[in-house]
Amino acid sequence: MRGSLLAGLVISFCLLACDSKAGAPPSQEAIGDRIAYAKQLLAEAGYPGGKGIDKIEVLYNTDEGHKKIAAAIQQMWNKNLGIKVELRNSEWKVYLDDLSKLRYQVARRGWIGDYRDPYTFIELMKSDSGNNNTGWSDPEFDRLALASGAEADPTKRYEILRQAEAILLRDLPVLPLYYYVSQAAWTDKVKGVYQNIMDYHPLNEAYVEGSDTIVINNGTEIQALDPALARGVPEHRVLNAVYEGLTRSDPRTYDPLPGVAESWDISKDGKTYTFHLRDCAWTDGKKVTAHDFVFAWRRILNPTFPSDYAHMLHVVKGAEPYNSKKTSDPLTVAIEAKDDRTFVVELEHPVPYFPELVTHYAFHPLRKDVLEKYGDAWTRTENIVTNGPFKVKEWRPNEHVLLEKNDGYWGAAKTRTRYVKFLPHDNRLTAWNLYLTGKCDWVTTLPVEKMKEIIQRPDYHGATYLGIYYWSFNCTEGPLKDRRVRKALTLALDRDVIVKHIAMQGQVPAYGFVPPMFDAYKSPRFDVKD
Amino acid sequence: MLGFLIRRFAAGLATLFIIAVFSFCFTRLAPGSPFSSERQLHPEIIKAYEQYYGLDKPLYVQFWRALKGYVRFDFGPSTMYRGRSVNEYIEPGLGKSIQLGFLGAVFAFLIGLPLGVFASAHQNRIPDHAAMSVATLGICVPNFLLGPLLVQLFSLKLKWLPSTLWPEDGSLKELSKLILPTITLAMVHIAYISRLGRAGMLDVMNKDYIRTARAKGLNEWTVFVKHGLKNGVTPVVSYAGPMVALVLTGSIVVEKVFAIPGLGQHFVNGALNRDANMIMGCVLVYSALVIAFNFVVDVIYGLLDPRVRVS
Repeated sequence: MRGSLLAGLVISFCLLACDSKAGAPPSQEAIGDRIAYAKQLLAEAGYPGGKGIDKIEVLYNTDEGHKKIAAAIQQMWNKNLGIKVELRNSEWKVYLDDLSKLRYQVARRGWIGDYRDPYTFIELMKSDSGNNNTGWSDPEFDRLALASGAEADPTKRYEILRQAEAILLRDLPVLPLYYYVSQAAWTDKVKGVYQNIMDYHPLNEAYVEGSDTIVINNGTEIQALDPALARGVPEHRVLNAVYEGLTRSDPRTYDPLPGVAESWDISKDGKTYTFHLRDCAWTDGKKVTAHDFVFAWRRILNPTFPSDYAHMLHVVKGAEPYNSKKTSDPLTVAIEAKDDRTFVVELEHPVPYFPELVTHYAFHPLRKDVLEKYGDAWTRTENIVTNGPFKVKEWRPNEHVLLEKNDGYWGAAKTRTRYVKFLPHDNRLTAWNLYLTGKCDWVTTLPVEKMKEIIQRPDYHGATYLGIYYWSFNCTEGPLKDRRVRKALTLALDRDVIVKHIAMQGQVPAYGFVPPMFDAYKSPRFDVKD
Repeated sequence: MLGFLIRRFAAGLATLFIIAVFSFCFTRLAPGSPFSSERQLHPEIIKAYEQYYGLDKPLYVQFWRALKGYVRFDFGPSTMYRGRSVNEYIEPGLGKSIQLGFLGAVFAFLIGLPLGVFASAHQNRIPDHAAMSVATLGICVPNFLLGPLLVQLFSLKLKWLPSTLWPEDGSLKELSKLILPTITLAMVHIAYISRLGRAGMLDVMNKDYIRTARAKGLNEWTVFVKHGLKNGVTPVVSYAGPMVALVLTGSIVVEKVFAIPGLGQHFVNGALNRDANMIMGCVLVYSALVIAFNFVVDVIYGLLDPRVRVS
């Protein structure tokens, strides 16, 4: 508790310093209006001046950054609404447990989009979503989310999603705070690396000037080399370098480019994709066939197979019923190898981002014979067979994962680096020291305590990132059951101050839930009068 | 002596068993699940996980199975690193942790003992005060602070020494990577050893038999080295047992600061991710090491002091 008190003091100073600056911040007026409206809502709900609300408990997983934000929220709710706030932190696994069992009032959340479509955020709040964890559900929201899938016209589809988001922002089971920025540093010798809103950098054309190796600190030890068992961004980096799906990402724009599939046809109704596979091989020389995709997709969907990412495939017709044991026949999943080089997928509904979706490692092909031969040991360096631009050369736990260029890869002529070395160091300061002493070329995590000086550096690379940092409300009990209270709490935070003086990394204040990064999508806002 | 050894050995095994029972229960009692994630998994998938890892069985069956593995040095599959066994992580990590721990311990003795003896020979004079100030500083500055400070100074500012990582080969340049971690690990023990050495020597040098030795005309050097030292350092020897435990646990922090791929990181990550098998593997390996070293220290102590053997 003493820690949070101290943090609170620091934040008070921040706020004071900010208030005393000559010339009010540009949004001073807006925040004043928002707070006035918040007070009014609170009074309407029966809690004038915060009276009647005993206290609100704010839960976050133990982390310096979250702690500062929590302390700011505490301070702002107290100052603006007269509500007493208590902070509670717990370690990651306990925090997750509390979230899923709704043992909290307000909790820290965040989400990075899996693909570039508003649906990756809307989907989180469906009543059956594993990410909801608020107790909130709205039949109209669920209906719209579902209806968006059936809509083939992109403009109308966005409009349906926008309506769904408007419902979310009306009821506010979530408290949007800011949109993330991606952060990394790489030296000026690193070439062929570009920024995009997914913060994903294919390594096909990346290299380090004057070196045959590119050394990347990956931020943590990867948890698996089996694409169906992996989860997380560090795994993504390694897996997408050693495997290739039907499509791959353009390093500059993240748009899907032909991968194993040379081309694909889409049926008129947008539901059937026919992928034409190129003549390409696995690292052991055998051809990549459509059967490898059928095998891999059925494997991850098998309900007894423990995968975190099976839900990504639920857009495929018949996938969800099979995956959730509504049927036991894998043949009901609408995927088919017409011949060795033709792979046909029928979707539940049109999915405009499907070619982008299949770049994800959950959709990578796998070799049935290799998995059967080696069982659990198939991902060991001596056994693993892959089909991407790199192959696994060495994996020393907690030391490095070393990849070597796959000369048999169809696009090998464009691969620039001989080796890629992923370091697993999760201590950000240690990683930063490694970078400063030239032991790695690229750090994917940066130490929070040094950010102020790091963002001034020319080798710092920050970019808008398709993700939202938000807090969620437990909508099932107490004053937070009342959406007016939730709205008052959501309005009474000065996001400009939080972004500028507490988060301090160039994040963008959020007044909606879906990041405003889709051109034709008009994001609604929560800070409007009902 | 043999009876003494057998008794000690049996006690060690019993201790290890008790540790296994308790840690096993604690891993099962800890809140949170290894399979909880930000996106809640379908209950069927969690069931599939639990079946795969045998977590659906009654607790005593799980423990019996695990125990059968432990005696064969097999800790089972990891829940955090999927499709991999705990042994694949512990084995390479253990060697590095032991090497670093050994370096730290030896360094602590090489510096700490002479420092303490030197201080005792100059009791209450400037060399004594200087040595003891250094020792106090060593105790006060925690290694998670000392490590980054040393890196800041010697790696980033002066650029004399590399900041991190494990040596790739046996060359001097690569081995120099171990200097800062070793100092960081040893510092607190240098401090304790020198204080214990000083106190032990002062105690002994005031004993009657030393007076006798002086009275019969031996020169001060002979008295000090031959009669004083042997008995004066016994407190330091008894410190060696606990020190092994401290060096090993201390290396958890040092490994993190210096990005050394030792056992400590697996222990911490295992605990944070509720990887029960990984936690058990690390706990048992650490415990076995500590018990083994205490056993060795007991033996040495028995050799130095006959009274210990009898009781």
